[in-house]
Amino acid sequence: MSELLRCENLTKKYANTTALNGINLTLESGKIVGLLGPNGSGKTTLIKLINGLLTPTEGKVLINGKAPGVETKCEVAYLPDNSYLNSWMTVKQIIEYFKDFYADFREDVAYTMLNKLSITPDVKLKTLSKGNKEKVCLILVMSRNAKLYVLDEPIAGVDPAARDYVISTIINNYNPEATVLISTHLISDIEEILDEAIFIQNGDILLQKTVDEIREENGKSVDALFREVFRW
Amino acid sequence: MVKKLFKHEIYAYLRTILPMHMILLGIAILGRFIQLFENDSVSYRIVFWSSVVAFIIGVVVCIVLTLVFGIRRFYSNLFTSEGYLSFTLPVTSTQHIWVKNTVALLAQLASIIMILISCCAITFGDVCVEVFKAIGYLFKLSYTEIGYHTTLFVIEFIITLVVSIATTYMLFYACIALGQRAKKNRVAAAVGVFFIYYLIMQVIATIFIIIVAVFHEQLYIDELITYLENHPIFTNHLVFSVTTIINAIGFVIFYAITKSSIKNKLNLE
Repeated sequence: MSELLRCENLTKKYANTTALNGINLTLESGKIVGLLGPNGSGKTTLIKLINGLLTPTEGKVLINGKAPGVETKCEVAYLPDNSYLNSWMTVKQIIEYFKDFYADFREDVAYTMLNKLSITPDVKLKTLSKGNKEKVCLILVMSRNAKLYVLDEPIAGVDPAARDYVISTIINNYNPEATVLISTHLISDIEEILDEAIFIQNGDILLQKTVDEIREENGKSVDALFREVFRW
Repeated sequence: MVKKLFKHEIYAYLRTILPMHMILLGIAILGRFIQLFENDSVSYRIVFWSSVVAFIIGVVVCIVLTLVFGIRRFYSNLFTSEGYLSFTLPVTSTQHIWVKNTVALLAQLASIIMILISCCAITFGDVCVEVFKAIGYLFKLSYTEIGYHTTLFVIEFIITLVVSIATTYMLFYACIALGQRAKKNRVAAAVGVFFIYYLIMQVIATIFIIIVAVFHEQLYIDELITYLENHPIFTNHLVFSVTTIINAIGFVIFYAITKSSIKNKLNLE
């Protein structure tokens, strides 16, 4: 397995707060990694830095040895934690948009997934329910044959049935040679699919281990360890 | 990728600008239709002047909305939630800025052309023919008097118009991009940046006028004015050239600010 993502002394400071405190992190390809931490721990900041949506205060982030830029954007599929699509577009138009810009976009996969959900391609995004809009966003991201999938809170705010759909969509559609970085605080729902877990708190990486290591060394599940570490 | 950016940008404009253009043309055609029933009655005059006022309002709205849409498109597509998609596309910030500026410019030019077409529509018939005849006569007279300078003036006017429109958009882009550096209330910060810029320009203009007024003898201002008055062709070329050069310098500065802010200081919330 080769190194896919490297963060070196990565720091991000806002006005009076330090969102990321000089973190060092390495991710290898071919893994599903959970970026786990409570709200405000720095998960979204780290994800935005990986996607070049924020500028680091110090340090650097490298994807396949390259700083975030045009080349890395061809390799990284990103699902933000909020609705980010042009609501006036139809589903078909947004698929065309992705197809135009991402060479790795698999149109047939997208339409197959939409068909399973009975979402008509001609429907406008603004007429979709919040849940269906989120599913369309996930379908677009997972229809790419990317090297790194970065999913920010993909199961937050959706009902348990929808969570199962989201998780199965991730498992069934990601490129096995790629890495999936999933940010969440709902660990029990995704624990079974994780290969590795990263605990993040107050901008510091507390732990980065494989799920098997966590279970062997601590004798408990990732969810149980998370509850212990982040207990109020 | 630039072609694809253009394609989607133009489409986004078309869905807003095209209906607006069609409405303006519709008002113009309706206005011309009303003129077919010309008579001396009060009711006709009320309807006629209402159609004229509606057309004038339509023209103003067309220009203003095209400008506002261009500014709004830059802001919403790059700095709101849509920015999460725009900035994760495999294109550079430079490409985003150029495409947005070029399409905004084309949209404004399209609006100007549509206004001219609408003017032809509302005056269709004898009036329109007379206007074209008058324009033709003026050009003929101008060619007789100053020859090829007429063509040069037309070219210079178009260049000045294009550069000044592009610069106006780039100024707003720079204000928005600088406003994004604020920690909160970023739209208000962008408006603040615009007013500070406007204030600085007013101060510079005032200082310039004071210098000219106080040192007009040392700067040979009177001689310069006399020379310009005696050389009207040169003066016109000079006005077009200086306006274009000042705008072009402004464009480069605003572009550099916008690019630097997006490339080095992008902080999408």
